[in-house]
Amino acid sequence: MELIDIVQALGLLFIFLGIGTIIVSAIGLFKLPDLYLRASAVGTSAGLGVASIVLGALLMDFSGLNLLKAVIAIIAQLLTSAVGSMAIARAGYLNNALPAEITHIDELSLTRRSSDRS
Amino acid sequence: MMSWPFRIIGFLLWYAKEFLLANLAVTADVLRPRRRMKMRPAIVAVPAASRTDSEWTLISSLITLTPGTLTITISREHGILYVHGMFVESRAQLVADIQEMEDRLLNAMRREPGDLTRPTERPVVRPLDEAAPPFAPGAAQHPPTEAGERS
Amino acid sequence: MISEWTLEVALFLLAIGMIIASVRGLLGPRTMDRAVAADLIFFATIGFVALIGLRTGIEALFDIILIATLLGFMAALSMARLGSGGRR
Repeated sequence: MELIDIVQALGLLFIFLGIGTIIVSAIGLFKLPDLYLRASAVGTSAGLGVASIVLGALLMDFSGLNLLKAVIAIIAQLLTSAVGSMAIARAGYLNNALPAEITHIDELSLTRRSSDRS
Repeated sequence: MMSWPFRIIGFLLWYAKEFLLANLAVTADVLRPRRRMKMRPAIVAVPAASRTDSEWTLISSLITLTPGTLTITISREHGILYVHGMFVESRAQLVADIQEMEDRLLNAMRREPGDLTRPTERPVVRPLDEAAPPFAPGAAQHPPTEAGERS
Repeated sequence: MISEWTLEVALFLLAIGMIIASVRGLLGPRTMDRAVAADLIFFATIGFVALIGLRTGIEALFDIILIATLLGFMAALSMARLGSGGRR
């Protein structure tokens, strides 16, 4: 009985860690100035946030089959979230979303069209 | 030199450490007051040693998965990764970080090391559409005619 | 039982995060800012599904999470396609 309580508490800890990461990313959406920095902030909750919520749910409801499903879910999340945020950043670049003023080196600026800004 | 499967496990452990540290860095910087934020974003062209499709896909996905660095686009014919970094002190520092990750990835993925040479000269880049107006120096970086952009 | 009460607190905190992200999505000056906010809302939704599944104790919880994580990037891809006007 004691072991089960410890595992459940550990699961809750991971769930709250993941929720904290998602809230910090949401704050980052307001504090960071441009699309690319915001995509970086969302990247923390895409990787660590979702992975630790799934891990916490696994610890609270543990079985062998659930372990397999949770491991596949975490790996799939890590691989696909990278593809998703690359697609969003690339669409922003094709759409001429300019980086904020504090970006001190910009070696892509030569490839940007100077008209066609939407 | 370790044998091949152990090199992959070693790379995964190293990457997990880097991933957690990058998460901590980005989270701490978002929570810091706006005055004392440490971020110095930059978009840098990083010469890359990847050759095959799977190497390009893996290195750009792993760069994007690490919070704080983001692959915007790649140019395979020039061998360049365009990386947006969040904490960039200088161009050389981000290039060194990305190339260290790529070296470790290629050492883990390839059974033999193969060639790890990287292109040295800067590519000549142009706008995507040929019909675009000619590039005016000084006006391209941050044109004043930005209507929709705000912080 | 500790978990019933704490799971409700967790749902409440997650809702706060979703509301903050939704405000960014409503304000967000350009299409891609809205897409990033929608991406974050989707990750919070995965958390919601996991928490509600734990609360009600359904069998298929991990199947739902697995399918959500496998297909979640399709939303990001199609929003990116929408924002770039079909260019890749």
